[in-house]
Parts: sequence; structure tokens; C-alpha cells
Amino acid sequence: MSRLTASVFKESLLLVRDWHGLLVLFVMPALFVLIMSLALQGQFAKAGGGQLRGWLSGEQLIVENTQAEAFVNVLRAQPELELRLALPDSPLSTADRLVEIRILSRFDQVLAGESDVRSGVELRFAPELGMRERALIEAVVQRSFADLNTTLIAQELGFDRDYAQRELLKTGFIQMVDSGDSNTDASADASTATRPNSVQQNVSAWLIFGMFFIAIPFSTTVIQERQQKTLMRLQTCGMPLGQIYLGKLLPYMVINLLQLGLMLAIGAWLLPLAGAQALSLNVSFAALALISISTSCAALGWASLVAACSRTIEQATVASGASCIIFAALGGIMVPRFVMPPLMQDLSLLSPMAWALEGFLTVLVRAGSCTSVALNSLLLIALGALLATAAIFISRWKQNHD
Amino acid sequence: MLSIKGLSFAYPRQPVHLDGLTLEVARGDVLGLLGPNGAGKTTLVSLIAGLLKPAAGSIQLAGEPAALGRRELALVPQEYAFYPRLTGRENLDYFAAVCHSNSQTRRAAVERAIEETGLGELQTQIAGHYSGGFKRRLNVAIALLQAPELLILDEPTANVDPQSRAFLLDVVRRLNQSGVTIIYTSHLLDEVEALCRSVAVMDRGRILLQGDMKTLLAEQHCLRLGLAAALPESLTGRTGVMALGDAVSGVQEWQFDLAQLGMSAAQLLTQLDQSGIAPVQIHYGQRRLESVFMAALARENERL
Repeated sequence: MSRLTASVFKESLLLVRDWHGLLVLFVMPALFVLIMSLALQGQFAKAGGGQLRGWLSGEQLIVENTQAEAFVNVLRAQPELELRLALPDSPLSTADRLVEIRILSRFDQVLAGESDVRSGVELRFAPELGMRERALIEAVVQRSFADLNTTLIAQELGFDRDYAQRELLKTGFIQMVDSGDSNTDASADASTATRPNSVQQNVSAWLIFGMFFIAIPFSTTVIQERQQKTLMRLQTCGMPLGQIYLGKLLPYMVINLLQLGLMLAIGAWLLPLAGAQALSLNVSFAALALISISTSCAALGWASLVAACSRTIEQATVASGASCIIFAALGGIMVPRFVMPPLMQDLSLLSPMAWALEGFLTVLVRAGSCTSVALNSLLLIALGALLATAAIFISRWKQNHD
Repeated sequence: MLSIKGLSFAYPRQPVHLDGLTLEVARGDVLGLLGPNGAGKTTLVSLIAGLLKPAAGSIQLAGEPAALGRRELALVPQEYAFYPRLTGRENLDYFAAVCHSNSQTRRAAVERAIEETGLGELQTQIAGHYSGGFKRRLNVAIALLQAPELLILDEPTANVDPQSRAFLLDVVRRLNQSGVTIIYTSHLLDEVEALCRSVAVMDRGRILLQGDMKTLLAEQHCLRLGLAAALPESLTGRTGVMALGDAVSGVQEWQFDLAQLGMSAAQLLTQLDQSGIAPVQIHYGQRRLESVFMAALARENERL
């Protein structure tokens, strides 16, 4: 058995016998995935691929064979909206129905130019609804009205609805193209296809958080060995510091990969049992392995640096925990990047967790290949190597200075 | 075996830690390295082991410059330098794999270390559950895996029961008899006096005193008495009278420098007899190591 093999075996035994550490590394991110995926399902549906829900009402009963009825039919065919008929002034909230689209009794007269008043439809929003959703709803209603009105003009000119769609509305003039083979659920429309759903976002995010959280048990063992002079003993036996670190890092990388397996299993099989969407595993496993190993490299590099810079276990625990939380807050783990304002989206790139998350989402959401995640992987591996090298230099320097 | 000449070392932005230190340890010797806390013993050991680089001077180990990973040298730190969540055997197997690439050599080294330190029955138990004495034995056993020529033991009997302490001292004696050179640091001066053949006292990064134990302790004007009663007032506080350690079972040991007192042994014993005090122990012509140590430190303090 070589020194490295013996070190890996020894470290694996130590890890297996550390139940508290394993609980933190596996149970904590698993619980986060379960809780956050289920809790944020609705939010992701609104922000991502879900339909906007609203009431459809009329000042009077909508009479058959009127333009108002035709408009209602056009509205109900819009994929962005899920409308339910209701009485006027039904309650609105962002948790349920966002908008009431009220067809006014003068709708046909206004459309025919027989009324002095210009409005034929009223939109009433939930007070707390954001500007983006208001603008989207207005655009969908406006598009529906344009569809109806253009068809009417075409009919007056002696053409049919197809002509109106083709020549006047120029349907198809704007083509929607996905950034890749979308792996989102089938109900998502093209404009939202590259956004993750709640399960995809949370499985990726909390997996990365768990992987970086490895800094706590890793740095704790390094500091214990330094304080107990075990590291010194190994060095005096002729074992180089780099080999000592490598023998410790490899088993922790295996732990990171086991975390990956657990989180994917939760997303694919456990969350659907609780009513959430299933995580599709119809992805490139090579790309998934690449981005996972790269993320592990960065996490272990960071763990090594924390261990090298901290004098006590208390210092290392605080530094590891706090840095994980800051990286997570900044890097889109706690709050998805796509809901951040542009400045924060730019700032989030300072966090290696953001690089990792982008890589995971590329694989899990956009069916990315190894090539698609190559840049992010390279960045993460380079960061990990840089941090680990710095850790070894700092350890050597401290040996001669403390 | 070990030759240190003009060794100097200082941690950055700190006062000089070792200052031109010179020390010779002969092959087969058992050297007691003594000094108060902060004297520089640990720094000296780190330099010998190659963990630190000297600013000046040289360290020759078995005729070669000292460097990290020299097989001739093994350290037994004061700390329990092993993995408490592994069994004793697993610890030994791991450190043996670090020291030896050949599997047969490795197995033989582990068996020998277990036998030497009497760990046999406990080898399959988790090391963190061992008693203090057996933790010390495992600490020593790991060092033996290297089959070192020079073994440095730092407080190897700290916080252990008398039985384990006696066993460990026996282990050290046996190792020395088999040809291993020993450097032994301890604050237990009785232990050093009983075990070591030579002694070096250091303070503030300098060797204050080095020599053969018997020679250093020999003193023809020295009378040591164990007294079960208090010393007469006529002798208390006089120059040349010194209490050694604490009283054991009501007996306090006193050291009398007859030259300084200006009286013969017979006169002193007569004076005690007249005071109704009968000594329970009498040693003549030999000082205790404690007095040698304290005198060396006192001289250094006076010099400064």
C-alpha cells in the first residue's frame, strides 16, 4: 500500500466514523432541497414557466355571437394566462389570482367606433403585483385585442382570418429560439424555457451549498491534526505536506460526489412523491460529472485555505460557515440570479457558487454538454488549484513563523 | 550521534529564540534535556527534526546534515499525535505505511511496536477510548515503527498513572540497551535523574550546562537528609540549606552544602540530634538533579 492509498484509506475510516460530520454533509442539504423545492414551487412557476392566473368578468352577461364573446375566446386561448370566469370585483392577490380582466358592456360599441369612450376592457391588478407581471399581462391582453381587431378589419376587406394572421399580423415574423434543447417541463413556453423550475434550481443550489459546506469538517480535521502534532509526525516521517493534503482531499471529493447522487435522487424520485415536479435525469452524465468534480475542486481548495489560515477549530468553523453563507447569498443559491437586479447579477459572479450553479443549470435545465460547461469547469478547477497551492504555501510559512 | 554547533534561530518579528546553541549527544546516550517553559526545547527539537530552518549554525545527525524525513530520527510529541477515531492497530498500520513501502517490513514493524509497548490486548480498540497510560504507549509505539537510531521523547510520561509510567521508562531503557540514542525532555526531574546518563539544561535559547549525570550530581560537601520533623530554627533560611521537592508521606528531603554551612556532616547530625530530630534517610556526596537545575537557572538569572 502506497502512502497515498494508506492516507485515503485512513481518511475514509475517519469520515465513516464521524457520524455528526456526515449528518451535516448529507442531511442538511437534503432537507434544504426538500423544503425549498416545495416551498418555492409557486414562486418559480410565476417567475419561470407557470401561467399567470386571473379572473375574467363582464359588466353584464356576455351575449353570444358578439365581438365581446369572440374576444373572450381569444383571451382564453392565450398560453400565458389561466383565466376563470367570475363576478366583477372578485378578490385578487399575488398568491392566487393576479388580475381581473373585465369586459365592459360597451365593448362591441367601442370596437365598432359607436362610442365616444375609447376603453372597452378594464384590467384590475392585485395591489402588490410587480411592474413586470403587470406589463406582461397588459401585453397579452393587447395582443389578444390586436388579433381580434385585425381579423375584423380583414373580414371587412373580404379576407379570412388566416389572411389576417399571415399578412396583417405577420404571425411567425418573430421566431422564438431556445438557447439549447430545453429540459424544462412541457408546459413551459419558449420564452421561459431556459429558466429552471423550483426543483432544478434548488437541487443544484443546495447541492453546491452542501459541497462547499465540506470546509467545516475538513478544516476541523486539519486543525486537530496540526494541534495534536500528527501533521508534524507525518512530516518527520518524510511525507510531504502536499501528499498529506491530497490524501485527505480525495475522500472528501468522494463525499461530494455522494452528495450529488443523493440530491439527484431526491429531486428525481422523492420530491415527486410530495407533489413537486420530478427532476429529469435525461441529461449528459459526463457533463454532470465534469461540473460536479470541478465544483468539488473549488470547494476543497477553499476548505484547504480556511484550514491553513485558521489557528483554532472555532476560527475555522466560523470562517467556513460564514463564507458559505456569503457565497450562497451572492451566488444565487438562496435567491435565484434571474430575479436579482442587473447590478446584483453582475456582482454574483464574484461567488464561485454562481459559476458552479450556472454549470449545473446548463446541464440540468438546458441539457448542456461537456463543451457547454467547459469554461465554468475550468474556472472552478483553476480556483481550486490556486487555493490549495496557497494553502500549502501558507502552512509552510506558518510552520516557520509561528 | 547528534552534533549541534552555533545554532541560532528566531521567529520573525520576535526576540532571538536560540542563540549560538551547541550540544553534543553521543551514540547510545540517554540525554535529559531540561529547561523551564519557553526555554526553547520545542524549537530545538523542531530544528533537529528539520521542521524549521536554522538562521545560523549546523546540525549533524549521524554525520549528515539534519533534514526533514531522516529515517534515523523519530519524535514522540507531548501531544497524543495519533488518530483517536482509529483503533491502535489502524493507527500503527497507517504510520507504518507512511514509514515503510515494503509490506513485510511494515507488518514486522507493527508487531514489534505492539510487543515493545504492550499494546497487544488493546490494539483493536478505538484509541480515543484508551486510558492516559495506554495513549502514551501508543504515542511511543508509533515512533518505534521507524526503528530510529535517535528517539526524542517530549514529556512522554505526563499525566499517566505510576504503573504506566514505570512501564514506559522500562521501554525507554530497553530501547537504549538495544542501541537507540535517546533525548528525553521532562519536568519530572526525579525521572530524568533515574533514567538519563547525561543532562543538558537550557534557558532562553542557550545551553547553560551539559555533562555526565554522575559527575554533575557528585558533590563531596553535599549531605541530603530525609526529615520527618520541621528543620530547627538555627538552620532554617541559612545559605546552603535547600528543601528538595514536596514532602512525601510526611518526610521532607533537605540538601545541605556543608562547605557553605561551615560544618562537618557529624556536626550537622549532632545539631539535629540535640533538637530531637532523627533523619529517616541519609545520602552523602551526591546532589539531587533539582538542585543542579535550580542552581544553573539561578546563575543565569544573576548573569542577566
